[in-house]
Amino acid sequence: MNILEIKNITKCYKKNSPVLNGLSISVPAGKIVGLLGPNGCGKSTLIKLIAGLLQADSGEIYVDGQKVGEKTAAVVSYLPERPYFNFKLKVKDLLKYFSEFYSDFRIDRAEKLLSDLSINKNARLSSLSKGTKEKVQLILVMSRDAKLYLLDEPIAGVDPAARDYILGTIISNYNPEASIIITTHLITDVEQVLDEFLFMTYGGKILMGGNADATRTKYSKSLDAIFREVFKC
Amino acid sequence: MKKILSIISSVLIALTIFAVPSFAKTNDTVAFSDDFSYVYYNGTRYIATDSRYFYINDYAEPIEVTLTKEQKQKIKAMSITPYDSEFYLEANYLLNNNTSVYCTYINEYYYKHYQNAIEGKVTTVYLYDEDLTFNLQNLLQNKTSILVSEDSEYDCYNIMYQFFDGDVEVDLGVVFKQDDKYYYLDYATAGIEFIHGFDFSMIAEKNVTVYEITDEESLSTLDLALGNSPETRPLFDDNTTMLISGFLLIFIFGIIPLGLLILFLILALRSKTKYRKIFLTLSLICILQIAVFSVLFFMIM
Amino acid sequence: MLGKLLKHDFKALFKYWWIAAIISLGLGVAAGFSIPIAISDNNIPPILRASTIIAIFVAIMGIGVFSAFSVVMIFIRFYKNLFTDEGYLTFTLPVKRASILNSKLISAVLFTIATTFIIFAAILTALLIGFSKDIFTVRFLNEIHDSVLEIYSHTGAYIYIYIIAAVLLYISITTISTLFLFNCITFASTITKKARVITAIAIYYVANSVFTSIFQILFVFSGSYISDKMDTLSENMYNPITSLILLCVFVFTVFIIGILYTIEYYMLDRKLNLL
Repeated sequence: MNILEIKNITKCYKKNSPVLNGLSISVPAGKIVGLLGPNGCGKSTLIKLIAGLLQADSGEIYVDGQKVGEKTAAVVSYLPERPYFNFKLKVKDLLKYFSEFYSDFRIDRAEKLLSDLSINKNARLSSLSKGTKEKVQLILVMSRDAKLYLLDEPIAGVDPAARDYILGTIISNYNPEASIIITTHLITDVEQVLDEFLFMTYGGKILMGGNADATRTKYSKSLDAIFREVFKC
Repeated sequence: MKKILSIISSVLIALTIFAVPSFAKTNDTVAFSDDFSYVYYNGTRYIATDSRYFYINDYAEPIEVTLTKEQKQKIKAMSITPYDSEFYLEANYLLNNNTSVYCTYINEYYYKHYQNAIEGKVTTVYLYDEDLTFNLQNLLQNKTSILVSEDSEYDCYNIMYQFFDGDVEVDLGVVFKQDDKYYYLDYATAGIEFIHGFDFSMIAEKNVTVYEITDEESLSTLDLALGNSPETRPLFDDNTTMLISGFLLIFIFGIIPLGLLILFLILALRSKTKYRKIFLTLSLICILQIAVFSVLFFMIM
Repeated sequence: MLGKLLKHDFKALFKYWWIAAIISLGLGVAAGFSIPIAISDNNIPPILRASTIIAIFVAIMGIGVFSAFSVVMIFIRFYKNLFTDEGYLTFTLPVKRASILNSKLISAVLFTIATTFIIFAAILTALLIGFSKDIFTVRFLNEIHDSVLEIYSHTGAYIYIYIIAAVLLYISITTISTLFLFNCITFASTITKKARVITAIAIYYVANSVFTSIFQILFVFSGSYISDKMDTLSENMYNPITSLILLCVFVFTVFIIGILYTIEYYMLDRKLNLL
C-alpha cells in the first residue's frame, strides 16, 4: 500500500506561474525516497503541502489513506530546512513538548541520542551552536514512530562529519515500516541511503524516477552523475 | 545621551518646583469691614453682592489669611479664594463663636456695572453664544404668568449682559418658547432659584411670572437665533435627523445582517465539511441579531 | 489538545507579565503614599512636594506602559508562534487549525482581562491609600450606600441583568479587539513576505481609525435616536427596554466576533504563507 498519494497537484504563488503543475506521484510504505532537483524547482513546496503547511490550488494529497489535515499530522514527522523552535526554551522543554503533542514520540530514544552527543538537556537552545541545534531538531523528529518522515534539506549547511551523523541517525532510528522523503541537492552524500529517487524540475515535473540501485546498475553511473547529465545547463 | 537626560530632568524638576502652587498662608494685606460688606485684598476693595448671576470658569485654591492682632479679636480664622481677573473673591470667616460665614465679593471697579445689570438698569443684552442682541426693556414688557410642568423641557437660551468687551458676563434670564409664543423669564422677577445653568428646565409644576415677547425686533432676532429663518436653518431639522438615525440603525442592525444571512446560507450550501458548519453558525447568529433588533425596534417605535 | 495549547500559550504570555503586574501594583502603592504629600495644605518643603508629584506622574506613566505592554505581548506571541519559523512547528502539530486559533484567542482575552484587573487594582490602591482620610469616613461610606440605594430604586432587580450585561459586553468587546489585531497580523503576513510587522501595524492603525470613526458616527446618531424614543416611554418600560437594548448590542458583538473569527480562520487555513 502507498503511504503517500499525490494526485494532480497544482500550486501557484503568483498568478499564471505555477510552482507545481499537475504533479502526481506515489510513495510506497517502507521506502527511503530522494526528491532531487535544482534549487527553486518546488521540492520544499511539495513537502510543505504534504506536511499541511500549504494548501494546494487543485488536486489532492493522501497520507496513509487520509486527506492532509489534523489526522495526517499525527503520522507525519516533518523536519524543515531551518530550526523551528523557540530558542528561549531548554532542550528538556522540547522533549516535554513533543511528548505532550505526539503520542508516537519515544522520549527514551531521544534522551539516548542526546546523551550520545553529550547535549545537556538543561541547556537553552540559544546557547547551542547552529550544528547542534540542527542535530537536536533531527533527534526530536526521528524519535517519533511516524509513518512518513519528511526531511527537507536535512544536510544542507552542515559539515561532512555532521552529514554522516545525520544520515546515520536517519537510517538507524526510523520506523522500518515507514517511508522517508528526503529533499536535497547534495546527491552524492544522500544517494547511498536511498531506495528510490525522483528527479524533479521546475513546475514540479518529474523527469526521471525509480529504484536507485537499479538505475545505477543500468547506467553504470552514480545518481549524482546521472543528475548532472539530466539537468545539464 | 546621559547628559541630555540629566539636563531635561533638571529642567523638569525646576519647572515643577516653581509651578507647584503654594499652599502656604498668605501674608498679603487682607482687611475686612466689621459687617463683612467689604474686603480689601492687595490694595483693592471688593464689595459683597449676590454673585449667582454669573459663572466662574476659573479654578482657584483657597488661601489661609494670616490675621493681625486686631483681626483676631473679631474672628478666629479667614480664608479667601481670589479668582483670576481679580473680578471676584470668595471669603470664609470662622467667627469666635465657631459660626462659619461665607461671602462673595466683586471688585469695586466692576460693582456698579454688575449691580446695574442685575437690577435691570441696562439696555443691550446678548443671546448666549450668539452675536445677537436684544433691548432688555423690550423683553420686560407684557408681564404675565404661565403654568409650567415639571416634565416639560424647554429649549432655553440665556440672556446675558456683557461688559468690558465680554470679559464679564452676567446672567439675567432666559428666553423660551411655549405654545408658539416666546417668553422671557427674568431671574430678578421670577426668583433666583430658576438659575440652573445652560440646560434650563423648569423646577416644578407651578405658575411662573414671565414676560411675553411681542415686539417685532425681538421676535425676528429670536427667529434668526433659533434657526427658523432660512439663512440659519441647520443642515438637518429634528425630523430629518431622526430619519437618518432610524435608517442607520435599521441598516447596521437589520439590513446588513439580513444580507449577510443570505450570503452565508448560499456559502453554506456550496461549501463542504467544516466551512459548511461555520457558515451555518454565522447564519444562526444573523437570524438572532435580526430577531432581537426587530423586537427592540417595534417596541420603541 | 486545546488544553495543551492553552497551557503553552499561557506560559508564554504570563512569563514576564507577572513581574510587570507586581511593579504596577507597587507603583499604585507608591502613588497612594505620594498623593497626601502632594496635595497637602501644610508647609511641605518644595523638593519633597515636587518629588511626590513626579512619583505620581511616573506611577501613572508606568501603569499606562503596563497596559501597552499587554498588547505588545499578545502581538509578539501571536506573530512569533504562527508567522515566523516557529510556525513550522505550530502548524504541523496534530491539532485542528481552529484549536490553534482558539488557544491564541482565549489566552489573549484572559490575559487582557487580567491586565485590566491589575490596572484597576493599582489605581484603586492609589486612591484608597492617597485619599484614605476622606474615603474611610462614615460620611463617605454613607454617600456610597445612598448612591447604591438610589441606583437600586431606579433599576430594581434589573441591576443584576445590567451587571451581567456589562461583564458580557466587556468580554465580547475585548474578544473583538483581539480578533481584529489577529486579523491585521494575519492579513499582513499573507500579503507580504518582508516587513510584516510594520505592515500589520499600519493596517491595524488605518483600519482602527476607519472603524472607530464609523462607530462614533453611528453612536452619535443612534444614541440620540434611542434617547429620544426612550423619553416617550412610560417609566415601567424603561428597564425592560434598556435590557433589550443591551441584549441587542451583545448579539451584535457576537455577530462581529463570528465574522472576524471566520475571516481569521479562513486566512490561517487557506492563505497561510510561511517563508
